[in-house]
Amino acid sequence: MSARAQAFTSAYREHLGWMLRTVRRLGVVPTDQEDVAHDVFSTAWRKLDTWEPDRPMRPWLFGIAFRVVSNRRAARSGKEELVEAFDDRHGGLPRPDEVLEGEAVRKQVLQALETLPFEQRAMFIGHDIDRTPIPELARALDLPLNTAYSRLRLGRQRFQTAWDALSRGHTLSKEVST
Amino acid sequence: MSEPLEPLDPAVQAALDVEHDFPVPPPEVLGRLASRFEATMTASAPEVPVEGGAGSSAAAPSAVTKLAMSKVAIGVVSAVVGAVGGAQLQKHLGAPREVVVERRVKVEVPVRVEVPVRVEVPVVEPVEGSPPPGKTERAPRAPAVRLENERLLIERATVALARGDFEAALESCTLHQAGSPSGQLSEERESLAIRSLAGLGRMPEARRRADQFRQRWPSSLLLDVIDEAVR
Repeated sequence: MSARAQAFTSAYREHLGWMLRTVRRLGVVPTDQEDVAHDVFSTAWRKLDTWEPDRPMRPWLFGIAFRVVSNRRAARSGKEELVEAFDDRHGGLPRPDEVLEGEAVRKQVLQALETLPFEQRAMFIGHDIDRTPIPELARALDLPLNTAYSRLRLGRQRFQTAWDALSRGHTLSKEVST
Repeated sequence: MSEPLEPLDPAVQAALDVEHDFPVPPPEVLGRLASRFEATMTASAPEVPVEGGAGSSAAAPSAVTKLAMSKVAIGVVSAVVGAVGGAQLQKHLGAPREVVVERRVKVEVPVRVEVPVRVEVPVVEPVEGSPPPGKTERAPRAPAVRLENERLLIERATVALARGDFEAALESCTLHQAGSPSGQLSEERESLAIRSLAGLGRMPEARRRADQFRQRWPSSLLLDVIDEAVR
């Protein structure tokens, strides 16, 4: 086994939980999250030559997750998945047993994320939730730096609009989410 | 050049902090995922660059190319052997039968059930005549319980900040400070307290605590958020 493969096998475990959260934030429905996370790690394993061991692993994995989920959305007609995901995970008001406020906040974050175009969503998740520096993220997503900034700014604007609407008790319509 | 980004709305920032701290999935889920992936790793080798640098990849075929070439070779040999063998067999057996191979795949659908529980953190007021601090007869709380109580107060403060309820956020921070002045989550508490003070417009107090924060945690990742709050 090459040194690179050894480094990967000894490090990947610490990213398993984060990857499940990442695919969830990218809009994968709960029943598919484990399968998609597995696909991401399998792809990463096959593409190990693109990983630079002296750089952090997470942005590289994030770039792969973005492409795996993006391809999946394209194959399945993203709109159906979007509606399905929205109904399944977030539909309506918080349930009575969702008394822990943190859950309600996380739910609202996911609802607002659903309103972002996928490319903006990825930048927003990578930078504003995962706290990955923008240059690192741009590199992982193969974006020019200015494009990365632009997507993040637009994503932030949309997120803020959705957040304000949800905080006022509004429900996001399909028009808002496209 | 890209201009610096504007700071996020404090409520949105606090909500994203909550999402950032999303609980780790249960160990059985992580174990299942690890097992599946390790099986994949065992079954397939990664694509690794040919040793000797990038230049050598042009001269020598890559691992993928070699694999593709070997597959083509195997395919050609198989086709020839199959054709000859098939013709011989057909002589003996007559017309070929159609065989349907059905492969059943067992799919396990993970179901994760989360039961949210609200835990009230008791605030113990000193009672006249009670033993002084340090002389209490109660056994000290286990570290795990202490940390859980700390976490709940910090989460409560974070959520209140996300709602824009700066008073409630500051109150939770004050409770945390009273119960765990040097707790494991002190850094997060101070960050939340500073942002709450800034949200309440108590800027001199917020700036003073921000200076103390910087002295105590000079390389904290939270300094950017604090600087934005007191700017």
